[in-house]
Amino acid sequence: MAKATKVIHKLEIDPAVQRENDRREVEDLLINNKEVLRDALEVLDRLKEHEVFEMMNAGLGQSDKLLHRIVTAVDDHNTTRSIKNALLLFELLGTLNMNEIEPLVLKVNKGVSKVADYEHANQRGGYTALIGALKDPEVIEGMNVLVALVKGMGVEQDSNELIEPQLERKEHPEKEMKTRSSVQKNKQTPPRWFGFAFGAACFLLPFLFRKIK
Amino acid sequence: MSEHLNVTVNGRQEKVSSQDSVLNYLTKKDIEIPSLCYHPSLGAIETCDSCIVKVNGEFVRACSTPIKDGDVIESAGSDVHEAQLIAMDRMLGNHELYCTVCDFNNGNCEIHNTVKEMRISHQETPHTSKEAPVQRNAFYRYDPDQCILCGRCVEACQDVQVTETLSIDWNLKRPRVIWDKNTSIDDSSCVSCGHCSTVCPCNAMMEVGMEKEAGFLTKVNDETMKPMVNITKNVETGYESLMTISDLEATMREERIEKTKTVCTYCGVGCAFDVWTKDRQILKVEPQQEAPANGISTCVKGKFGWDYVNSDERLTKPLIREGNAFREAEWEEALDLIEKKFKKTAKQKGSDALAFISSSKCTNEESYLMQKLARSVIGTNNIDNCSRYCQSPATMGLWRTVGYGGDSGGIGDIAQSGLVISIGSNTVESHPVLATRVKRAQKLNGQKVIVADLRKHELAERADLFVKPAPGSDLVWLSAVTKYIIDQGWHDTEFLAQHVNNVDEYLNSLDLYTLAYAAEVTNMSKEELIRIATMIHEAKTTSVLWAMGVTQHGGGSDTSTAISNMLLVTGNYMKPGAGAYPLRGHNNVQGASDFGSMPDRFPGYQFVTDEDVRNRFAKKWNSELSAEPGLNNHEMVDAIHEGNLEVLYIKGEDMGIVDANINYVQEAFEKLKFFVVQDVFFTKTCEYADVVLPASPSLEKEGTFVNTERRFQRLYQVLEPLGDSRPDWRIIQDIAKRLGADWNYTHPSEIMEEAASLTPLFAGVSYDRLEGYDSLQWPVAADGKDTPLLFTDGFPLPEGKARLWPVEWTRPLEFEEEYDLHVNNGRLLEHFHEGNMTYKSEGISSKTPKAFLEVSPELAKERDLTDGTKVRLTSPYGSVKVDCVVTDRVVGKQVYLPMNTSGEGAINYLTSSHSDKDTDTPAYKEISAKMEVLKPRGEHPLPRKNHRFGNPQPQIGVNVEQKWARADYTFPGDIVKERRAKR
Repeated sequence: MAKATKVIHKLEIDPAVQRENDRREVEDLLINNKEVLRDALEVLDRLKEHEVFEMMNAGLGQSDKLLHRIVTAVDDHNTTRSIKNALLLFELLGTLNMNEIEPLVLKVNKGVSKVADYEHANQRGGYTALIGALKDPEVIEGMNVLVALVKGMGVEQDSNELIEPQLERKEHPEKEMKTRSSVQKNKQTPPRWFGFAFGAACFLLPFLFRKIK
Repeated sequence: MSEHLNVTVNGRQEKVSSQDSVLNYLTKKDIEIPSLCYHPSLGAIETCDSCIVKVNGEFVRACSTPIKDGDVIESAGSDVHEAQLIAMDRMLGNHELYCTVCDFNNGNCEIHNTVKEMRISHQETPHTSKEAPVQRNAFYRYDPDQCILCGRCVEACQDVQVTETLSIDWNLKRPRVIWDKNTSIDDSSCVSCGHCSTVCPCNAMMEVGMEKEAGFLTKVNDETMKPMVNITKNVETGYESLMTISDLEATMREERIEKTKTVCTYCGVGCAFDVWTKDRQILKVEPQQEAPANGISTCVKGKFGWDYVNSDERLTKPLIREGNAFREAEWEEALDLIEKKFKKTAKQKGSDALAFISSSKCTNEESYLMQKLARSVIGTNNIDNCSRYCQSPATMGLWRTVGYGGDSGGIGDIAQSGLVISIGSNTVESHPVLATRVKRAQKLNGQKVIVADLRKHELAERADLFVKPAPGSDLVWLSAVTKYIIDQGWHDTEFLAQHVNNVDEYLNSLDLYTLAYAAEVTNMSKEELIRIATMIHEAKTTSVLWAMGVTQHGGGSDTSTAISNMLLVTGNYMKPGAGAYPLRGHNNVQGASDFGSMPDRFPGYQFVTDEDVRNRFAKKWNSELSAEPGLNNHEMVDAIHEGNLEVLYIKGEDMGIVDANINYVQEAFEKLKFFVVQDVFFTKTCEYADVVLPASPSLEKEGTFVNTERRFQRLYQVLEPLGDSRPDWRIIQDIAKRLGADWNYTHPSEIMEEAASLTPLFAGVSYDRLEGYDSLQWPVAADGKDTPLLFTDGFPLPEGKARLWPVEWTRPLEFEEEYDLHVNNGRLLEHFHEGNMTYKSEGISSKTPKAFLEVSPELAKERDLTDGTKVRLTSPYGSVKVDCVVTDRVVGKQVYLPMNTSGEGAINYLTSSHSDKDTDTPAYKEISAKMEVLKPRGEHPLPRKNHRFGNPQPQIGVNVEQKWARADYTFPGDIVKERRAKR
């Protein structure tokens, strides 16, 4: 005759037995992972030396407050723009071809070095000196380099821009998705007036040199 | 329409084999176009404009444009893309992309993915706040500032779930989603079914379980979150980098968030979905479109009612009785005791002194093992399951007439039916997802609905015809309607001649059921009876849904038979959209019987008296099997009282509270010599046990369920068993081994393999064929071919013909005059059965903390009752105490007491042992009581935040026309046209 009951006596686990079980479990873990533990302890020791744990402990203990302070501070126009610019610069670095830039950088360095040596007082002024300098092969070579640079700057690069307003994209949706490569190809053709000006300059240069002679 | 349509897509000639929308066609052709408001389960909503393409030179929304012959479709032009970008930009003005710190960033955010696919790097329209507060309740939240106004949630609420709570107020300066007439979620009619959060493409409508839990960087204080979002926005150099970082974070989440498919363990609809877990924490339930029974649908229990698996009240150790108390024990000790007692009783008193009760909550495999334990190891057929309490009469009615005791088709058939007749079924609350299909079909597709019920429940309110027959009189009106149909010559003579036997005998039996007689017995008018007959006659197809209001009567099997007779006479079998649909109440009430937990049948409804069958099982099981049918649940209780049954082993069934006349049942438990109860919680039944075994619920094991559509579905293990609990199949095997059985199942698939090899009804069922969301509807042939529509070639009866079965009305139990109130009883939406699982959900309990008694305004006036009056109801068998709610859902002297409590309001303190004459199913619905007021005034038993106080606002869909009519709206295609014209 089993009468209804709701009384349940929980199983009492002998604390000593429980402790023994726990100890054995931990022991097993340590023994099974002793190599990893040895390495980890070495690292931990060094971190301890540098009070990293104290910092981490304090940081985690106050994590909510710290995070709030940090994000409130960072959520400032100049700071976020700095981060944004840094990210943009990082992205731009990816577009640079260092093999091609190296000679240009060396040339610019040399130019800077010449500028550093340049002394206003010791130089003759006037157009004639300037025209005379045009005879200098280094000057001619430098100008050729500059002309090439200017020519490159004349090529339209809108489609390669990383920072581009959505309105622009909406009004020129052909630049999106798969149409991009064909658009790029067309737009890389230099405008005609650049070619004309460049040709005219080349044509005039010999006359200039001859006149100076 | 010609068979093939010729269209041109982006300059290429194509042939289209079926009519479809442009969007669906392009998607099938792997041409991706954005489509943020479109969801395949919801259809075209037309709010987002992102799927704009050009058809025959005009900009159109691809989602809502049907393909026509000769169409020229352009989906890739720059002008098309421009229009799509304009649409996307507008949406991004409504949604902040802070993906990395968003809990919805799990790889499935549709906004995130669309921005990525369209390679959008910036937005022109700045995001601005809608200046409205975040809405939330215990289950989900709505952040208007993240809402893109796609209207999916509204479409789902209005036209899928059809609770009709949500709308978008397009008249607001900044439109947003509102509840009812712009109230809070908790004050609205929202039933928390979760459809809205399931279909939301982003984090606007999101389960609260996900908040601050899904992401690695989202668990920050609210005050810190805003500056974090600002920083993310301000430092981003274009969305590509943002997308990359958030994609990385989403990938990391996959390491710690498990997504496991399971099948719901509440009602018999068989909803399947993924459960998202982080360790033991349930983040959310995510229904999948491919789920065969429910698709994207859930109810509050399936979507949010899983707290019980981690409840502190779970049993985690075996319990052994010592005097009038239990003590926790180890498994070995509990199994030792069971072994000793079972062996001793079998030896001294014979095998039939032991009995076994299986559970409709457990898996098919567990039901199979329980009956195998009883039959093969112990040697008795004393095995039954809880379908005895509910569904056996429906099964009997179908066995008699059509040969198979299962639904004629699937839920899809109910949805496409021309006429649905619901009898004695509060299906909106008892089978919520199935009911949504009826509500939707009626609202959108012109389906007609007749409801016959005592109580004006939700489907009754919506019905085209609602009739209130006198309690227990359904057989009479069904037979009268059938006779009237025949008298009018509306019966399907061809169908009867070809497919039905016993026609003449049946027709003669109907003589008694004239309209006049039926009107007198049922209190229905002749006009109502004629209208029902006429509606059946006019409908192309008719489906009848029925449940406990039919079965739980003295003549429950006969009434179920009358339903099937009516369907046969009108030819409503053997075709889609028609047939008989007894709605199964538990997740596996169908499977528990399918797999042989019945006293007279092996798995697949094979009789134990059939020698060939018995020999087949005996050979496979290597044991002698009894040819004597055993005791059913009802008989077991009597046998205990008579001293013939000494040992009872129950799993997953709180019989001490859910059986009828529980005082009698509990007294029987007290008389048992040895009583083993296996459950997830310490139930009322456990209180009487000698040994209680801790079982694992469905989320902690693998197996299969069979839903009301006869559909096999697999559930996968989501969590490890809690504490020392074990899956039921392992426990049964442990006991069987103790008793000498050589069982070595290592996985439920092996059990299924064995069951299928012995059972022609599901010979082709295997775990391989049930991978993921794959399913099979029995009968399943050995080659795996299943049977979504049950009767196609004929019926599994002699000559392949159905059989009309004459029935006589059994008068309901009559009570003495003092018992003047008829006590109707049934379910509530929010709770399941006695509530062992759902009351563990804080959210559900806060909305519906306890059961209550519905009384009519007339009765309230007569007895001076108000909301909160505490009364005692007393029947000849016992009494309950409960608080009143006055409502016109009930009339006159009929009251309604939900079954959802195991406390002092438990209905079965009132019910009797009177039962269906053919199946012994208790006549729970035949009960009268007298009332006395214990406390005239008290608090309303339902808090104001219960959905029943809400004020639904029905409309079709999202009313997108109102959006288009706004002054600030221009169709993106028009903008592009104008721009191009200016250039």
